[in-house]
Amino acid sequence: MSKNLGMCQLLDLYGGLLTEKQRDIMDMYYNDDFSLGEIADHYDISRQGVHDAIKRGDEALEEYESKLGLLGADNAHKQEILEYKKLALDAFNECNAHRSFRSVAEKIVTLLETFDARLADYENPDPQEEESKD
Amino acid sequence: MAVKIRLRRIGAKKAPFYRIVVADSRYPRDGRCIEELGYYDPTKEPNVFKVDAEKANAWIAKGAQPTDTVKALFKKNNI
Repeated sequence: MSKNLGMCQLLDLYGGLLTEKQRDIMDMYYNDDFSLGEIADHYDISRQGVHDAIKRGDEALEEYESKLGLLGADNAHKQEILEYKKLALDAFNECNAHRSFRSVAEKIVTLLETFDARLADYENPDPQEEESKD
Repeated sequence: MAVKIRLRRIGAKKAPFYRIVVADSRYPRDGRCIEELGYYDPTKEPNVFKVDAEKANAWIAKGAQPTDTVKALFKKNNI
């Protein structure tokens, strides 16, 4: 499934560059967990045709990623923020131990909040919230 | 063979999130499902997988076919 997760994210990023039909087929395969046979029925084409389309799509997406590297850059960005957050947290704990550094600690809290807001872009909303949405 | 247990994506862009649903395989995509069994979040580490095991087993006993991905997930979580 982890391979599919990567493919899903690539599809989100570069899906717009594929043809509409190919994107739809890949969307059904990766996002809605349809089998090749079911997609074949839906479009009235052969299973082999669906398989070929998905394979071609995979290759295309991987090529876009190797040339543009948006997903890798995004993940690196997230890792970076996580690292900064950890450093800030350490600094906060250290400052908190001393009375005279309280004002610094407060500034670090603002910093931590900024990092959390950035990281929130990478997270899903709360599952319970999702449940009630539709 | 018509009833399947499969994933359905409901997540945001670049953040996949799935519901485990029971659905007729002949229904169109994004079509209605018979019942929701739980959810699966592959973006967390470790992956979050929550499902109503009793209902899932009841559906399998009734002949519902889990898809390969769902089968693998069930196996991993001992259902």
